[in-house]
This record gives sequence, structure tokens and C-alpha cells, in this order.
Amino acid sequence: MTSDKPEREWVPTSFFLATGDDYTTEIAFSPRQIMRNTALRYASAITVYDPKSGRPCYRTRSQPLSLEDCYRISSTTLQPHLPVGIELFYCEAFNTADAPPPDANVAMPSNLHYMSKSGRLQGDLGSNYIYGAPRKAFKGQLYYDHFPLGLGFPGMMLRVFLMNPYVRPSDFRVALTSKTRRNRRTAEGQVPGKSVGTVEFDIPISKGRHSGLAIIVASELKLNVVYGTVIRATGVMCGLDHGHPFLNQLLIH
Amino acid sequence: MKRTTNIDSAFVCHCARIRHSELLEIFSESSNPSYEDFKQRYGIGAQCASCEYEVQAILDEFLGSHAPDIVHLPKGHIRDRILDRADSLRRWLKNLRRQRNSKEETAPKVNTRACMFFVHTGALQSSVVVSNINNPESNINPNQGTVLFRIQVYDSSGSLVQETKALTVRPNETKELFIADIFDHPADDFLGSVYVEYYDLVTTNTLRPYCVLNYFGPGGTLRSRQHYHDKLYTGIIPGFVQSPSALMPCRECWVAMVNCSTHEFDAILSLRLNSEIRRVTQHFSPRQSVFLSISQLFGLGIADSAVDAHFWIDSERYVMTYYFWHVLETDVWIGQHH
Repeated sequence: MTSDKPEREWVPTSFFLATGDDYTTEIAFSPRQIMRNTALRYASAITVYDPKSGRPCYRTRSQPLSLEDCYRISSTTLQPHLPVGIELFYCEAFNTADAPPPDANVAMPSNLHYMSKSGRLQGDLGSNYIYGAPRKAFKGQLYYDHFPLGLGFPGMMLRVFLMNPYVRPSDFRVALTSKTRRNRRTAEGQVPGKSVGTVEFDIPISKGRHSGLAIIVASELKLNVVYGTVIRATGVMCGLDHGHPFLNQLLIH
Repeated sequence: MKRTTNIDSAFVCHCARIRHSELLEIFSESSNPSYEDFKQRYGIGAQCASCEYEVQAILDEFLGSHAPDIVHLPKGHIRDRILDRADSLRRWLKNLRRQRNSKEETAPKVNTRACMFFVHTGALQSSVVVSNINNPESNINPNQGTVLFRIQVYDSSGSLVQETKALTVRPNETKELFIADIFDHPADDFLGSVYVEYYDLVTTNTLRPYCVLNYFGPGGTLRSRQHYHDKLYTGIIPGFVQSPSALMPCRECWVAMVNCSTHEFDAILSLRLNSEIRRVTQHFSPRQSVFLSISQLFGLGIADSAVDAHFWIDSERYVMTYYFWHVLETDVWIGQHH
């Protein structure tokens, strides 16, 4: 039996939507980030999931886009359609072209710009791969994400955002690693399917001049993890980053 | 909309009652595994379809782990760990003997490198972070322990101004190096790029280098730490050479651009503001770095509210580009981290 389906298909990516009185998320998608074909038409579909049920609670789709276009939607536009009293939603951005992907880059992420009146959340991220990233990562009994925190300065804390793109819940644990002390467990918990979990803890102060710290997040399912650095005294976020898996290949550019 | 029926179940596909281990068995028995094939043959993901992403992800991972360039890591069993450690010790002794016999023969060689933008002013101070973490299950270092690296620094005009001796990062060590740790005679103000070069690396593991943009406020208080990592790419696309957040309210967007190549070219920097497109030509000499704000580039003020402003770069060669924002209200610097 033969299939008409192309060998490669566009795949969705995941991100968290921060919304409410304090938070604003500006979502943007421009095909230009990896495409150059002016003859194609592109589209962006955003699906927001209700963390209580794990089901989609709102979906919106762009008009057909040309290569030059930029589709934008803000959390203030999405807010009236979403359950009340929730600040962080798991979302998927399904950005496609009307032709299959020309190479192994099968995901076109959206851009997220986070703002807040209080300063508690601010940063600029791309939506994360759920699958389809052309790289080879270590997977043992669990999945692992690594973030090189670097030196621990006084008065800083880390807020870790854990996104579960799957429908099953996933246990996770967060550990701090240094040269002298390996894998100190600092937090653990469970992220329900299609939702966002957060944990936060103080960053220990480094003792040596070069003695930095790394974070390892171990999880049952392949979570998407984002790390926010926060000034403890004011609660202001002063860094928002993603980590990487343990790569089983030599990256040569 | 997809129905989600398999929450709180041990099955990956609840409808077809397939567990993770069974899925892997099916994959390994197939000569050419594909999601569509399994959907038709076993009904995986064929009914409610809520497991589609997870099955695709597991398949993707399965195919990746069987790719020809995969570096096989030791397993976590005690017997394997003892054997691997003995093997490591044998290799180390063998290397030691070789080193004694012929220093030239075993001289370490750079086999991978990555480039990042680097700035050092009174307030903004980049630092380089490298992290050499052991395998989290076996505690064995896939690069056989201590890793050697060096840092080359090019100034904004593209001249090589510093090259460190071989530095080390030990197992489970994360090292953060500021300008004083890299330069023999650090300048007060510096703008350029750094190349982190590893010697005889077996696998990248956690050694993808990062930089941190540290921002020190009045009185030298650390106000923000934004990580960013290499984007060295020698082709033209793909690359995040655009930002749809060029004019966000009460924050000034800065663009850091590095020509990582030895070629000279012109790039067209474009800003679409509502429907009007403004363009500026930027010349890049080999390895040149540029750090300019959108305001400086296009003669614009700082926006009070979100503006439909889209910045991008067109050029015959890849320009490694980072976007940073000085958030005026909270006086911190944040960055685009893709």
C-alpha cells in the first residue's frame, strides 16, 4: 500500500503563554527565519491548552502569509478566550508552508517576547522543539536537559519553567552540579500533560573564582525547559534562557 | 480537536494499548520504521490521535540513536561502569606512555570550535561559560575526563588580539571566565568576538559554549545575567537573522552582529515599520563585529507601546546575530535566546 504523504512534514513547537494583569506575551511568526521561497504561502496556528483538562481550550490561525509577512498575536487578544485565574498556559505553534520542508529543519518556531509590569517575567525566546530537531541527544532511563548556570552571585534565584508537550504526566527532578559536589537535588515534582510547571530556588554563591554551577533537569518524558534568573530582593527577572540535552554527537560548524 | 484519553495511563497509545517498551520493540523489528506505517499496521495514534506527538518523538529519537554518526555512551550498570573505568584507565596509561615516547605524535589538536559575540564596557561585561558534565546516569565523562580548550579573541575590526594557552575544564566542572581571565592585559572597553576551540573532543555532550551578558548597574551591583550561545554557521540559511521584537515598549533593542568568516561583504539591514521599509547597508570585513541599537541604525526613538516593527538582515554570507534589549523600567538587559 503506498502513501501520498510526503517524506517530511511540518511539525509543531511548544511554548508557554504568560497572561493576566501583570504578564504579556507577544507571539510572532515570520517564515523568513528559515524559508526563502517567495512562491509559497505560509500559515501559523496557535493552540492554547487548559492545564486542568489537558485539552485545547482555544485555537487561532493566521490568514495565508507571504514570505515577507509577520503574523502577530498578543496574549491580551487571547485572554478573553481562556479560562480565568491562570497565568501560565501550555501552547503549541504549528507553523507550516503549503509545501513540505525542503530539509531536516521541519519545525518553524514562533518568537515569544515576554513582558510584565512588575518585571517578574521578561525575555525573548523561540518556541521549543517537541520533536524533529536534527540532533542526537543522550537518553537513558530518563531524559536530561543541561543549563550551564556559571558563577553563583549573591541575591539571585532561578525559576525553572517545565513544559510537558505530551498528554501523560511526567515526573522531574532538578539538580545542581559543581566540580566538588555532584548532582545536589534541589527540586522535584510532576508536570501534568499539556501544561507548565514551575519551581524556584536560590542559586548558591560560588566559592571559587571559576567555580561555576550547572543545572540538570531529569524527567520521565522529554520536557521543554526554560530557566529564568531572578533578583530575589525585587523579584525582577534578569535572564530567560533555554538549555540543551546531552549531545551524543560532535557539533562541527 | 483531538480528544485526550490517555492521561494518567502507562500506555503511550491508550487506544491501541501500546506501552513505551512495546513501541521500541516494534520499531526495532521494522526495517524502515515510519509513523504512518505503524498507524496503519498497529493502529497506533489512529483513533484519538492524542499520542501522535509522543510517538513521533519516540520514533525520532529511535532513528537518531541508530544514526551512523552516533557516539555510543556507556550504560549505567555497575559491571559496565567498572569495565568502562578500567578501559578509561588503560587508555589513559596508554596515552601517557605515548606522550613519553613521542610528544609530537600526541600533541592535542583542535577539532571543533564555536564563536560568540563578546563585549566589555563599564556596565556590560560578557563572560564565557563552558561546562563539562559527566553522563548523568553512569557518571562517566564521555570525553574521558578533563577537556582542553582555548579561547581566541578578535576585536571589532576582525584582528586577532588574544589567544589563551590551553585551558582545562575538569569533569563536572562549569567554568566562567571574564575578560581578566582571558586577556593578558584586559582593556577597559572591548567589543569583538570569541572563539572557543576544543582539543580532541569526542562528543559535544554539555560543552556547547555559552556567553553571559552581565550587566552591572550604578555602584557595580550585578543587575542581570542573560545567557547566549554560539550561532556559528558557515552557510547562508537557516539562521535567526531577524527579530519581530525590534520596537517593544520602553525597551531599547540592540543588535550584535559578527561576521565569523574570512570573507568581506555588504549586508542590507532592513526594518519594516508598519508598512514602510527602511534599509541600511552595513559593510562587514573578515571577522568584524558590530553592536548597534535599532535607534542608532534607523534614527528612531524608543516606543511607548508595541509597534509592528520587523528587523532582518539580507546578505550573501551568514551574519551571526544576537538581539538584546535594555529594559528601561527595571534597568536590566535581556536577550533573545533561540
